Amino acid sequence: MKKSLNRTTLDLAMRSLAIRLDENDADGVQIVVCGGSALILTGMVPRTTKDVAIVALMRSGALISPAPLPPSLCQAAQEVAEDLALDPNWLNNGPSSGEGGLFQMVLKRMLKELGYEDVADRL
Amino acid sequence: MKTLLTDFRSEFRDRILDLLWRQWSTFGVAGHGAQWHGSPIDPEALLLLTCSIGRYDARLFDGMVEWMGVNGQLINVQRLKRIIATEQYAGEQVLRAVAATVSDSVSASKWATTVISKDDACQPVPLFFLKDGTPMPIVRQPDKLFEGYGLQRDPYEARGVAQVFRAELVSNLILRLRAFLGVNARCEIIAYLLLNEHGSPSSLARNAYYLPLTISKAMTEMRGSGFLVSRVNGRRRDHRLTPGIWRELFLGEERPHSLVWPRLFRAIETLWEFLGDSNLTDKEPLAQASALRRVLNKSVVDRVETSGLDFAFGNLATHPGEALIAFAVERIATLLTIMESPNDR
Repeated sequence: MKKSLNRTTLDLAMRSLAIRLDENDADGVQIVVCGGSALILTGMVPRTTKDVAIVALMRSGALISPAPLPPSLCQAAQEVAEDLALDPNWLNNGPSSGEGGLFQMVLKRMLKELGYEDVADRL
Repeated sequence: MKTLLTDFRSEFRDRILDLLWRQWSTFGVAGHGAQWHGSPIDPEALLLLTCSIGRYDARLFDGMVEWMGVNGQLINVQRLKRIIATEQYAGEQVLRAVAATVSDSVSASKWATTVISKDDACQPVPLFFLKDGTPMPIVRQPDKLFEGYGLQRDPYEARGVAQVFRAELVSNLILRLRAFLGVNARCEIIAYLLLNEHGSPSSLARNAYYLPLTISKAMTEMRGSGFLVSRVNGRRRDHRLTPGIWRELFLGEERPHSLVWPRLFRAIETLWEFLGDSNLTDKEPLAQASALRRVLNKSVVDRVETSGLDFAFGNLATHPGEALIAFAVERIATLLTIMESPNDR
């Protein structure tokens, strides 16, 4: 059974993701996350979550659809899953994966209210 | 950042160099006290690993070059090519320079079609390195021949350390068979059947690095001698040497373990490429562990575990993140211990 993600594990996973993107010489990527992982990473709640849900990608200050996720990000996430024994789907675009998704229906209008944080050069 | 992994570099290199020295010493290179007592030495695999890790010991490397001048007719160039192509050894450029150095009017045609061709002109790189990884200083005019292959070193000089191999040593079984039967697939077939008792053409071709058709054809012809028998076992045709004098003739009282050295040595070379990378120390431990996991999963674990060595890495997934470093260092150290004396297991 794969482990749930607390603040420490999430920080480790995000650092590992940045390392893998760097090692793979991938393009930098900005991700917008929502749900439990967003609350945990911003220190708002001390709970755990089972995944990191990407609701949008950001490019040049504009939100764009996360469906599909960039292959380089998927590869790096898969490698982090191997490195840290996480669920293979620990990083996903579940909330915005289809036409009726959160990004497609709602998020474009909310851009101005969002904040973001740099994890590393490429993330 | 210094970690258990970066601290392990020098031990890993020194233990592999010691193993290489012992195998070359058994082949007839003077300069190292201990001999190899284990699975019969694979000449092509030994040559290829020495062309990479041997660059950290110039005396060993030059002993190999000199040995090639004396015994090079016993190297199977076709098999060498097939091993390089299958396992992707890193030392091909160095091998070309070695082949050019030992090639003379008699052996030129043997090497010419394979490894002697030069790469396009490129910036020369140092051939030898010191223990700390820095290039060995060149104090004289660089060797012209090596420089032609993009490698800089002081002029090569034979020091009289290489002799004809000793045929009576079981560790030299392959060389002995080649001296007896010629350099061809039949030597690997006999060696394989001596060490493994039986085998099918497909497994033999895979583990001895020949084309299946070559092995199949040779075995069919050898069956005509009456010294090789076969039995259909399901979809495979299993072969063995006829009971009698074979083992006593070639192995005496010894029962050496069979190893697929080209596979095992390529795993070792891959580990060294990783450990010897000067950039490794610049990485944080988490990044070192992540890169190590890629190397182990992609290029090392499967090779080692299918080499015939009595060793299993264990489940890397149960050592997430940085915890992999301590686990892997312990497992690699154990691997080296088993490699150093595989017949003790």
